[in-house]
Amino acid sequence: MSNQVELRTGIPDEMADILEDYFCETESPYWGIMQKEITDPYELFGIFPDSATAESELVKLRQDFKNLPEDFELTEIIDADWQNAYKEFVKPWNDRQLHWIPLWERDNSPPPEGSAVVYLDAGMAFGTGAHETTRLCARRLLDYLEAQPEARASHDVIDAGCGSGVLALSASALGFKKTYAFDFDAEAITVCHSNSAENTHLPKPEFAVADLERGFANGRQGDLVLANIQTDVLIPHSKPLIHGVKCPGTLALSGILTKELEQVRTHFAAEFAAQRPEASIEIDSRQDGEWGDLLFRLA
Amino acid sequence: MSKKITGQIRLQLPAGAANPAPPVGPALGAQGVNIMGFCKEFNAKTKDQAGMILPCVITVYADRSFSFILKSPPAAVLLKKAAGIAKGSGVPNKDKVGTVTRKQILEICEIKKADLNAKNEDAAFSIIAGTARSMGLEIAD
Repeated sequence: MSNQVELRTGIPDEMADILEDYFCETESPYWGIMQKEITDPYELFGIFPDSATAESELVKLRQDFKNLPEDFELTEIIDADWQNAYKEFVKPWNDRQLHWIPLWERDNSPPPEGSAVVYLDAGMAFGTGAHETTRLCARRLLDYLEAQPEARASHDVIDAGCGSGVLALSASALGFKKTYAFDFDAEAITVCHSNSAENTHLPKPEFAVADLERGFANGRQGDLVLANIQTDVLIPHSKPLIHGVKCPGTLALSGILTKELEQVRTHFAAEFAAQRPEASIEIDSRQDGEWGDLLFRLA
Repeated sequence: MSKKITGQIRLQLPAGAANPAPPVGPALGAQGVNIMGFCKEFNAKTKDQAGMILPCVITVYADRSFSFILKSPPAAVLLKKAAGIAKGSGVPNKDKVGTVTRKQILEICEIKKADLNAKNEDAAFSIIAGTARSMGLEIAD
């Protein structure tokens, strides 16, 4: 793990806006402004790859701001500290029988008997399970099973853009026999394998590094396709997603800002009509905070 | 009841391309914020401004949830982008480094209108045109 160094000093309130504009104008990748507590004075901080860079960047800053305080505190930042700090605030979550338990809570939060349990640590991949879009997708997964409990024996689930693999592992935990999950980010797939290794009580989903084109290559289709991916990726890749759903089948899109729901609904409805004219499409949508999902049911 | 605010972080981030590398990771991680959750929301909300560096004010609450507001980039940044220059002039009254059109200035006024303390469009135009001249930019019709 690499360690960085941080420079930090208190600044007067009137400097905060001026420095903010300056950093934006100079596109500084190092500096920021912070109030650790909202009642505290502003602090100027910079995070640098090493002490030499910190020193040279401070010299540059002083050239443009002669009135900067003299006393900067220099501290070493250890990667593990900041990467793990969020863990204190990620708590177990459940909907109906599905329980997501952070690895570090494993011994403290035993789930009720008969639960479908996934233990996970998202690390630096998307998907602590704490995000609204992941939960929206999990609800769709649970609804799907509630509507057709027999599906778990024979239906295929595809998790497109699987992040940390929480939805794929949830499908396994709920008893789906076959789950295929892919993400274009190799780091995410590493986290998927590591999360899967922490869930040896579950059938292992098939994980792959693939983008949306390659993920659905060779005519791969699922009975239930989950895509917790943002709008600017969903829309240009609607074709593989639409062809990736069996008929009858279900496509659940999440990761959509509520203000974009109509745009995504219109686009996918038109694309379904053009590309899958044999299917009748039923559309449903839910919202959670600023985020929404869209469900396309093909019959 | 509104949530209790604990801290505030101001960073300048590339639209649509925030990632957990420093300073985002250490700055937010130390406050207990879910770093990837922030990057995902920031990128989703700024993807249509790709190529811009945006000032972002992140508010952290007692339960370590967060919200953020995006500010418009400084006028000088927008003017440099409009004029296609990397840097303003050191001697703006003598050395001219580029040109912006009145239309471009009006477009910048539109982007900056929430942040400009201007009574009307003419006043906003004067402010932005003043910044342009102070950078050594000429104004063309």
